[in-house]
Amino acid sequence: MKLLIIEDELSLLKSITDYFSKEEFLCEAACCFEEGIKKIEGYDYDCIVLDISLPGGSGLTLLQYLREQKKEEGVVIISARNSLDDRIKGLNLGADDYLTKPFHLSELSARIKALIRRKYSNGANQLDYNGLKIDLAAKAVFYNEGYLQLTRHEYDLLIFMITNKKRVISRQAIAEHLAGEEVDDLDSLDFVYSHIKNLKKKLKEKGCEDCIKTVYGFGYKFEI
Amino acid sequence: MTRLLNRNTRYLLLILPAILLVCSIAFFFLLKMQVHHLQKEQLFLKQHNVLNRFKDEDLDTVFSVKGEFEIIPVNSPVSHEENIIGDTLMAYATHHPPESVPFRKLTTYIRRNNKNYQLTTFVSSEETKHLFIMVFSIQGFIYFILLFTIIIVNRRLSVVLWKPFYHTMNKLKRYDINKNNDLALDAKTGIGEFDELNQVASQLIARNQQAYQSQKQFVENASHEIQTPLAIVRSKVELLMEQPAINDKMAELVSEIAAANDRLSRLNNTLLLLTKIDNQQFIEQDDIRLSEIINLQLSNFEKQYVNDLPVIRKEIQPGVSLVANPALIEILLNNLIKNAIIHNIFNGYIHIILTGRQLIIENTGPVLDIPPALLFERFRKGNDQAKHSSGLGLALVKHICDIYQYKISYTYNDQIHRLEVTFS
Repeated sequence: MKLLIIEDELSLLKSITDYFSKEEFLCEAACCFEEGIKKIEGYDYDCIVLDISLPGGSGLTLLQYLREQKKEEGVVIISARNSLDDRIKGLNLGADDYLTKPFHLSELSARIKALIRRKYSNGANQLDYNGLKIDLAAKAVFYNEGYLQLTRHEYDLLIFMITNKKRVISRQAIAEHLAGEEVDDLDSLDFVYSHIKNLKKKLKEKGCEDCIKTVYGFGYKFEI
Repeated sequence: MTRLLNRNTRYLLLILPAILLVCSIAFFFLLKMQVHHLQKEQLFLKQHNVLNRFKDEDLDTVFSVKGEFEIIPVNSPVSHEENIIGDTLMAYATHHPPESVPFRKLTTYIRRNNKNYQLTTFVSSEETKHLFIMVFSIQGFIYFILLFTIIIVNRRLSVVLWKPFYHTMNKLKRYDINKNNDLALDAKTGIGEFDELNQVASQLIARNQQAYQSQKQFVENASHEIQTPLAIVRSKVELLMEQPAINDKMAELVSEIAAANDRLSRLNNTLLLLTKIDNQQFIEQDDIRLSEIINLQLSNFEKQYVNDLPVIRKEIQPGVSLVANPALIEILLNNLIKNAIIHNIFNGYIHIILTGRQLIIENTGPVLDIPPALLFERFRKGNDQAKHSSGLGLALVKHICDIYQYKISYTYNDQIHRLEVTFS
């Protein structure tokens, strides 16, 4: 999978490339408008992560240019601006997703993978991971042919964990993924714990034990 | 405080009669002087005529015409003065009713054929008395009309002349810096002072507006600028978490950094929200089904606070709706309910009552350790236990209530906190 990251903040750019290089992604980086245009013209990517405020021009202009060139890359906008107008403008110009800074890398990863699944699945809407099978259209989860009855939150949580498998996922990232950005006091992170506990129990019932590990101080790690 | 118009009238009522009185007194004395002078001329003329008539005649006895003159032979002149003027009364029995009539008299002594005579001439003062009464009653009448007219005209004129002033004042009264509307004061009122006033007021407001705008802009820009470093810290922390050689002590430190960073980003988000409300980025309005939203939010909270949710008692009238911005109302309700959950006690409860025009949220909780008046201020935190709260929740609530002119009040009674929102 080829990923292009256009972000002018070098430190953040490096974090994103570092994070995705550990997976099956081939990351290219651009840190200004001109460089972004050059890369878009020269190569094809599976997904582009695009910042809006760039030196040399707006990310939205770049997006417009991309769509005018009839390029079909999936685009995730990352912006410090969180107004509805910006969001609508970005999505109208052909962005596939919109993420507000500061975001969790695990969240960005989940969004990108979901986007890639949607775009390139060719109808085979299924996630497979070491015996765990998820029918994304029917939202049905099986482990070794055994059906798991999950609630909506547990299902979302499982998808989030699978897309970030073998990585440390913080409790806050899970909370925000499940409840939206307005999770705003740490006491309420208890609900993450209870959902994890329930999911663990249900996975164990079907024979999938110890796939969710607690990482001390941080959060959880999913691995089968 | 007296209004300008009344004060003006009061001064006129005080000063004008005083001036008129002084003038009247002066006029009275001047008139009297003039009348005496006139009478004197008449008396001298009469004396001259009488002397002419009796120039060559000998007069042995008293000769007189009543009210005109009298000639009396005297032994010797009583006075050396030539002409003496005085007042006298004369009885007229023929008048009905009989009365004494005042006269002015001129007495002189003449010597003829070695005989002395006293010659007195008279003019009536009766008519001058009548003149005085007539003149002063007409004058009084004229003064009264004058005073009345001056005051009426003055009041009428003041109302017309001060109109631009009251116009300006009403506009200033209605001015709200949040609404960012132009005041549009008249540049040409036709009166120099008011033109100047309007100009100065317009300039002042323009300057304030500018300062306010740039301050808002600053907060918004600052909040946006903070987002990127926050994103960097967050991403670095996430990468750090994945380092293989991390021990428990390091993990604890990293997770504390992460928690502080998360708190900072939440705080920043709330600040951004406040500036967005200030900048009126929530204009769209919609019909909001309040009862349904409250029920939905309560069930969300039940999912979120699995373990320590207080008992929730609901009295929600179904079908309550209002017109407002859905996002803002959601924030309002969310913050109010969350506030009641966070600032509760162990085994406490929340009581939510929704009627057609009021939302009341009561919850058990420890006594507030800040004055209730400061409850809705930014960064005011009540009790220590809620150290994770941003101190902005109720400030947001107040802000949203202000926008829609909902009344919000707080009372504390017998360990029960009660927040009451009255929709207009």
